[in-house]
Order: sequence, then C-alpha cells, then structure tokens
Amino acid sequence: MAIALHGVGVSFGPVEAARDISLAIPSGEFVSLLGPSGCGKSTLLSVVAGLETASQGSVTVTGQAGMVFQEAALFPWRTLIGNVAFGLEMRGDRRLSKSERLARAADALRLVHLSRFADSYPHQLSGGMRQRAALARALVLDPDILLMDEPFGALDAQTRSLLQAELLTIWERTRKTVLFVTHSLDEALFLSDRIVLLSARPGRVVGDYWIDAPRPRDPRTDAALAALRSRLLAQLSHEIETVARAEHDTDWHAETDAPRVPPPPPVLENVGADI
Amino acid sequence: MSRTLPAPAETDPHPASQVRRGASPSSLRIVKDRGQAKGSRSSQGANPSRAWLRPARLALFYASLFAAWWIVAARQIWPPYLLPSPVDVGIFLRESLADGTLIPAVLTSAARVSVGYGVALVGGTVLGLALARSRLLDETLGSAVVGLQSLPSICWFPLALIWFNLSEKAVLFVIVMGSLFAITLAVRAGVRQIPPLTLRAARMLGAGSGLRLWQHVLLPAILPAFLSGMRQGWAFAWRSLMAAELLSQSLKIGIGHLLSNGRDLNDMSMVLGMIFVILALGLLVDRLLFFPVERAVARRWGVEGA
Ligand SMILES: Nc1ncnc2c1ncn2[C@@H]1O[C@H](COP(=O)(O)OP(=O)(O)OP(=O)(O)O)[C@@H](O)[C@H]1O
Ligand SMILES: [Mg+2]
Repeated sequence: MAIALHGVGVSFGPVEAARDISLAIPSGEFVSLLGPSGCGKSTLLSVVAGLETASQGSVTVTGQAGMVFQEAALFPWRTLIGNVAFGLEMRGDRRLSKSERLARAADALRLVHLSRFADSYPHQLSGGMRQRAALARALVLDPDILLMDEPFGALDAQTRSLLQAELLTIWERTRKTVLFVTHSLDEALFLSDRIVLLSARPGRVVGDYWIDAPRPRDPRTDAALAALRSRLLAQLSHEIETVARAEHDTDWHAETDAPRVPPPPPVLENVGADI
Repeated sequence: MSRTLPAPAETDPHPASQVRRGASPSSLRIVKDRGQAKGSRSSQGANPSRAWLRPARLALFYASLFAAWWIVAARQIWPPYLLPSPVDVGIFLRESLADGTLIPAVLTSAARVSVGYGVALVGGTVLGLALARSRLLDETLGSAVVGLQSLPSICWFPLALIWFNLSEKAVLFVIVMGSLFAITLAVRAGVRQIPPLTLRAARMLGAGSGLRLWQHVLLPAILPAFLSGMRQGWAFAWRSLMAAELLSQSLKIGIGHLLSNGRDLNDMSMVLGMIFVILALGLLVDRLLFFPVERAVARRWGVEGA
C-alpha cells in the first residue's frame, strides 16, 4: 500500500474535520476524493502530506509525496524554470550540479508543455499555465505519490478539460499513486480508478467505488459508467443537502430549494455537475 | 500601459447604429453610450503623444511657478529681505559652493544620516522579524511600536539632550528613533503577508524551517514590503536629521545648521537656497536609489501598481 489510513480522525479544537477514516490505496492507483465543502478533504490531504497531524488513528505513507494546490502557489520571484528547480535545490542533492538541475527542470516543463515559458515569471502566465507549472514543480522530484487538492478548480472549462487530459497522459506514463480532491463528479469519473465519497462534516467514508471502464471515458457511450454516475450523484446530493440544511438552519428541501442538480445522462459533458 | 482598442469604423456594424433609429428609451441610452465610446476613441488617438505630454505639462507648471516668483520678486511687492529673487538665491548657492561651506556641510549631514539610517535599518529589520515570529512579543512590544510610530521624532530630542548632552550621539538617536519604527512595521507586515500556501508549498518541496527557508522563501517573499519600508524609513531619517540639526547649533556644520544660520543672519536667500538643497538631496536619494529598486522588484514579483 502506498497510503494506509486506519481510523484517522482530525480535529481543530472544537471543530471535528474528519472522523474514523480508513482507506488503503495501493501504489499506482488514481483515487479521487469527493464530498461536500468543508468535509475535510483538504485536511486529509494535508495529513497524508505530513503538513498536519491526525488527532486519532494511524497514517502510513510509503514513499515521497508531492503536492499541487488549488492555487498554483508558485514563487513570484523565480522564473518558471527556477520554480521547478526549487525542490531539487532544497533537497540539497549534492550529486546534481546546477546544470543538471536545470536540465531536469526543463524536462519537467516539457512534460507539461511549458518549455517556451521557462524564463517567464509566474505573473506573466495564465491560470492554466501556472497550474501546469505547479504540476511540473511537484513532478520534477519524482515523488511516489501525487497529492492534488482541486488543482483545476479555479480554471475555465476548456482549460480544465485540457489539463485533465494532460494529467491522464502523464499518469499513464509514470503510474504514480494519485490522491485527487475535486468538487466535480465528472472530473472524478473521467480520471480515476476509484472514487471515495466523504460525508458532510465530520467527514467519513460513505462510498468507495472502483471504475474499470477503459479510458478515454465517455458516459454517453458507456452505459455502466452512466449508471455509476447517477448513483454517485444521488449520494453526493444527499450529503450536500445535509450541509445545506445545517447551514440554512431551517427547513431546507432539496426538491424545491436545491440549486439545479444536473439531469442524469445520457448527456455528459466532461465538466459540468460541479458541486 | 493601456492597449489601444481598434477604433470602430465609420460604417459601424455594431447593433447600436441600428438601434439608434428606434425611439425607445433604451435606444436613447445606447446612443449616449456610443457618444462616450467616441469620446474615449479620440482620447486614445492622443495616446502616443501622452508620453511627452506629461513631462511637458510638469515642466510648464514649474516654469510658470518659477516665472511667477521671479516677477513678484522683481516688482518688489515684498522687500527683498522677505522675498529675494531667484537670482539672489542662485548667487547664494554659487557662492556657498565656491567658498567651501556647502559641500562639507552636505558631507557632514550625509555621514550623520548614513550612520543613523544604517542603525535603524538593522535594528528595524531585526525587530520586525522578531515581532512577526513571536506572538507574545508582538502583542506587547508590537503595540508600543505602533504607538511610538505616531510620535514625531523631534520629540525625542529633549530626551536625547539630557542623556547624551548636545553631541553627535543625540542627533543620531533622533534619526534612529525617527526611522526605526517605520522599518520595523514594514518588515512585520511583509512577513505577515506571506500567503500560507506559499509556506506549505515550500515545506512540501523540502525547504524545511531553518536557514534555507529564510534564505530561499521568507526573505525573497518580504523583499517588496521591505524595500518600501526602507524607502519610507529614509524619508523619516532625513526629516529627523534636519529637525535635529536645526536645534543643535554648536555641532559640526551640517546643512540643517546652514538653514538655521540663514535665519540668524536674516538672509532669506540663504534660507530659500538651503531649503532647495535639502529638498533636492532628499528627493535625489529617493528617486535615484530607492524608487528604481523598489519598482524593479515590484515588476519582477508581479506586484504591479508600485
Ligand atoms: N487550520 C485549521 N484550523 C481550524 N479549522 C480548520 C483548519 N483547517 C480546516 N479547518 C476546518 O476543518 C473543516 C474541514 O476543512 P477542509 O479544508 O479540509 O475542508 P474541504 O473538504 O477541503 O472543503 P472545501 O471543499 O471547501 O475545500 C472545515 O470546517 C474547516 O473550517
Ligand atoms: Mg479544500
């Protein structure tokens, strides 16, 4: 197992973010975490990354982890190639000379199709390009595990589907273990081997689905995928409704008050059904 | 710089030209919009010439101001000992350069402000970092710093006189107290403004929490804020020095003393001349040293608008 969580709970003072989460992720698997806002997805990722410690349970992570955040969080004082080379410099890898580091960083930039912008500064790039650079910055260290927290959440639909396809290509080539947080059911269906559904806060695992449909995926032609999508959507809507009830504090009804739950397939856009 | 938008052709295919024939209130509004668009077009047509228009306007403004001064002085509305002509001021400046009073005074003042500002820079940086790092320190000493920042630095002078007598140390003390807190607060704000995500990313990439984090992440991240703090600190240091020199006659002659001497001698040309010198030196350092560096860093870091 690349990642093994046993009865993990995380609390911030009185706020219980996640409760009793057990999850075993074999290496090479692409797993998406899906759940309503505030259910502890980012927290869980931070625990796996070692940026946060679990209040309960045990966390076993085998190998190095790299992380990509929703905002690229690039260093504005470094060029793209400087950003990508940052991790190599920090690792203090004495075996690598400066030119070797730059060569590796250039390779990583090529992987995300940003070679032309190696000498640009982050503020000169579009959001999609920054996000690709952040991916390259994580990949250059050749981590065993890639943790991605809504990496495409802030992008427009076209850029987003482009980056999804690129990520899939990279993953198919490198076969890294990926733990991917998203708010988009369709994104999760398009990318993952497995979708883990979390409940409203405190987050617990309420669904664990394996998807063995061949890639590239298209629910319009794949009936099994379409059926899975409806099932997941129903369950997810239920959890979101729970959150909405709690937040609205009154008699809130999904039937009358819910913001448009997208109709079930056959029509499925690659993005859409963003929740 | 603003981009030039393509100017709409006279045969405008834009729907507005069709709606214009209608008589509904909404079409009237559109017609008006169109008028505004035309206005902005013509102003954009003038865009290339703006580059020289601004300095030209400025030059014209100061030239007129100068001319007005000259004319008023020439007509002797006020006697020359109240308002000397620009020529008199020029003569004073030339003579003070020639007789060797001005340059040594400038050097003396420059030495004082360099030492004082240097001490404030080091002290302010250390203090600012300490405040940003320690919550306890920030809640106690930090509040005092915020309060003291609003105290005019010359208020420290009487205290300095009692502690150090009328000495170089007293002047130095006033300069340091004048610029220390501005630098402290700028450094503190710079550290606080670092996005938490930047720190998390740095940690994930192996920057640790020690020297490497400081060198490669924290210091570069606060550089823009630090530079604007440095610039502000300079302005405060210069003002404090002038105030202190005005009040400390018996020390080695600095330019503040020359200004004060002008008053003692009832020599208005000297007073005005020294005001120009003080203004010019303060501006020169700001414009030639601090401003370009601050702007270059802001550009590179992408914090535009500086
Ligand atoms: N450092 C922290 N201190 C206090 N509370 C926190 C902290 N981090 C997270 N929380 C709380 O824990 C809960 C889970 O937060 P988390 O960010 O993990 O949710 P999420 O599932 O990622 O939400 P979203 O989908 O909106 O990103 C939230 O209620 C949040 O307010
Ligand atoms: Mg989150």
